[in-house]
Amino acid sequence: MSKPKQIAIYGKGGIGKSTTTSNIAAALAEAGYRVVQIGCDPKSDSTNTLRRGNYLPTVLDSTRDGEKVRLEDISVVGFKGVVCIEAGGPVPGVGCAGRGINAAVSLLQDLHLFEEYKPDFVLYDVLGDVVCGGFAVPIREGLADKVYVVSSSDFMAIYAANNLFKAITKYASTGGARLGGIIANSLNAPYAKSLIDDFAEQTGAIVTGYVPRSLTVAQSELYGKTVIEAQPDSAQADVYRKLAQRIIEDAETVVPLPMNVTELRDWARKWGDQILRIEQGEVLEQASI
Amino acid sequence: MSLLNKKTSLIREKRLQAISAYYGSTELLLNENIKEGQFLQRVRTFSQETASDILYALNVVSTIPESAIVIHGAAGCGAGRLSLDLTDNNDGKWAVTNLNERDSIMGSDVKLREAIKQVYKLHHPKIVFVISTPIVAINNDDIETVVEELTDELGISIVPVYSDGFRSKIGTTGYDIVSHSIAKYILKRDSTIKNEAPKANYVNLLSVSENEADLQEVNRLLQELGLNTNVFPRYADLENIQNVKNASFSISINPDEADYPGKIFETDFQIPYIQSVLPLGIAHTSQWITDISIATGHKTEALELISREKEKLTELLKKRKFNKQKVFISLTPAYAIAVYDLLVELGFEVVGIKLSYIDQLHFGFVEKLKTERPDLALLVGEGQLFEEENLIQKVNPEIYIGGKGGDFAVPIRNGIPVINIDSIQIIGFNGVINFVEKIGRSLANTSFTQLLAQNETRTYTNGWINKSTNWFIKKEVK
Repeated sequence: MSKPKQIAIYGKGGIGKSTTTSNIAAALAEAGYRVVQIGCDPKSDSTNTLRRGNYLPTVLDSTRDGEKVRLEDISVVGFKGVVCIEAGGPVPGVGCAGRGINAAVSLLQDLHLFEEYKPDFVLYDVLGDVVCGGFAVPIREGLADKVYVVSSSDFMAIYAANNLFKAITKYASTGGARLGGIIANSLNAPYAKSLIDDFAEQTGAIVTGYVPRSLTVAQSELYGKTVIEAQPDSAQADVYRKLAQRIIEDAETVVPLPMNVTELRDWARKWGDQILRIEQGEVLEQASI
Repeated sequence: MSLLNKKTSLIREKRLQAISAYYGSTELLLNENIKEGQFLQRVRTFSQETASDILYALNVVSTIPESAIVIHGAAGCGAGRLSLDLTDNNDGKWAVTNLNERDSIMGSDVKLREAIKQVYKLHHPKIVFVISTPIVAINNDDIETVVEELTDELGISIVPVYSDGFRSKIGTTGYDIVSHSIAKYILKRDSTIKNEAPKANYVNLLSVSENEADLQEVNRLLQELGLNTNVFPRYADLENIQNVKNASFSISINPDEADYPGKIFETDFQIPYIQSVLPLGIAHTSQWITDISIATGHKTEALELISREKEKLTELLKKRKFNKQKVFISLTPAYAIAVYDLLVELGFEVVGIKLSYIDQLHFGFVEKLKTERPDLALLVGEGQLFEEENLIQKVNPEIYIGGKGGDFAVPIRNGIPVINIDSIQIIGFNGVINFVEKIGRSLANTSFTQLLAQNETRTYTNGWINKSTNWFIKKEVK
């Protein structure tokens, strides 16, 4: 592959975005691809499970002293050759993290990251809600080709996904990234799959994969590894492999149609009623129990 | 309710419902808004540069003796202070933190700390002012912690001035911010300043932008009444600032500019505030003296003083007769109001008024204009020379009265002689003499201005000059 596939993965904080991204990265690497994962979150914990405990100074930390930064100073080669980079940010409570993402991404371009590593895939793991222009950098300016959004069936996660769709719609006409699909994560409740399917249908999006909630994930994280590395034979590892395969094969992208505030509210209310009925034992056509 | 508990003063648009864009009749201005007790804010869809609150703030703090300034922002923000060095012969005790992209991401407290320590080491000031700029305001960067730490460490007063350059379109907001900061970070914080019983006949003279000659005239008049003054904030040293709490009254010179410090001292330190008119012109100066004398109990002295001073002026005014010459006024509101009355009294015809802004304090003036001169349209806006030129070419004045930070390019290239009130001592009874002499001289020989105008190329096309002055001033659609 000459030009790397650049993929941005967004989603509400705590939804399992970094876990999913790292497992996809690990699965891609396992399949023989050259992968770079860039954590675009000031918390800088995106690549923890890929690095085998190796210390990785963030891009912004390295620029702090004003000295010339080399690519090897800010990257670590992790599981199966995955190149790990963390954009980083200011210490909590000061500065501007959004501007930080912007500056870090520019610096990576200046350092000829892609020419140097010649990756097949670049994964940007971006802080959840698009809170300002800085966090939209991977979507804008044609940096990423495709955006995936990680969402659970919780309303707040759906809400954040809908917001991200707004950002994609805004920039799509000027060469911004388009939506690859929704990665449904932490599926637990009986109605979760139907709810996400319905959200995708309402917004013209595709569901790329379903990741059930699993103890394997929590366990692997505690060992500081991805599921692919820690428990390669588990069913959960196969889930991630399938997901990675979809991402390799996926050619189709869409510009989603985000719901407006009232549409989203009405849609949520409808599901509220439906869930209540499920709880009360009614069996509905759509509900995949 | 304490005003000083707030981080900084409200912007003028919120505090006094000030508006910064209008052109049209006084009747419309009053009719469309009076119900809500405020004028209707408009927007300029095209606007020229204006001085921001940061420049106004720098203007005041630069006059404070034994102080140094740290401009907390990008290197270019230092240009505002540099311009004062070039024009006013200041002593240059200032530094800029030179913030760059990295600081905007990581926070800028390290550089601020270093800059304050540097200016302290170099100049040993008693007060350091930290002037905040847009970059710090947008990032909401922390200044407070550095100020707290270094106040203890260096044992001097460090005063953060939270100007930002963009929230308010009215530069005077910067004056309010400075008063707020000094009161909050020196007067309120310093527990060593004791609240003594107010000293009789000792008053705070609230001066924000007056020149030294004008201050002398004001002081002369107040001394005649038997009052000793403590000036604040312009030219006020640390001792003056600490003495604020000992005064029995605060007195305004310019009621627009003194309004905020007057209110702070009244609400937070229980010092009664006497707000009067600007003492410019015979009627207004008399009014100002009367208002003060009633509050301070010097009525007899006031009556004597006024009649004595008026007598001196009668002879002069008899000699100087003006014959309905057409005047254009471009000033800040308090000055425009006073100058308008003085010009009418002297026999001029005012053909155009441009005010830098207008707010709740100026309803009376607009109402008066509506009655006396319903034909006269008002232009409101700071700077905006393109509109001023458009209007001046329509009303054809013979003389132009401006100043208070105004720009004189427009009248000069139109061959109209200019009276810059900043360059003359205009306040008080003596100010009347100076003003009348200056205006007389300017009208007697206009050849210099005409020569300048002959050598000017036209700045604007007929297309713009023929348009209505309010072409770019629109009601906001919400």
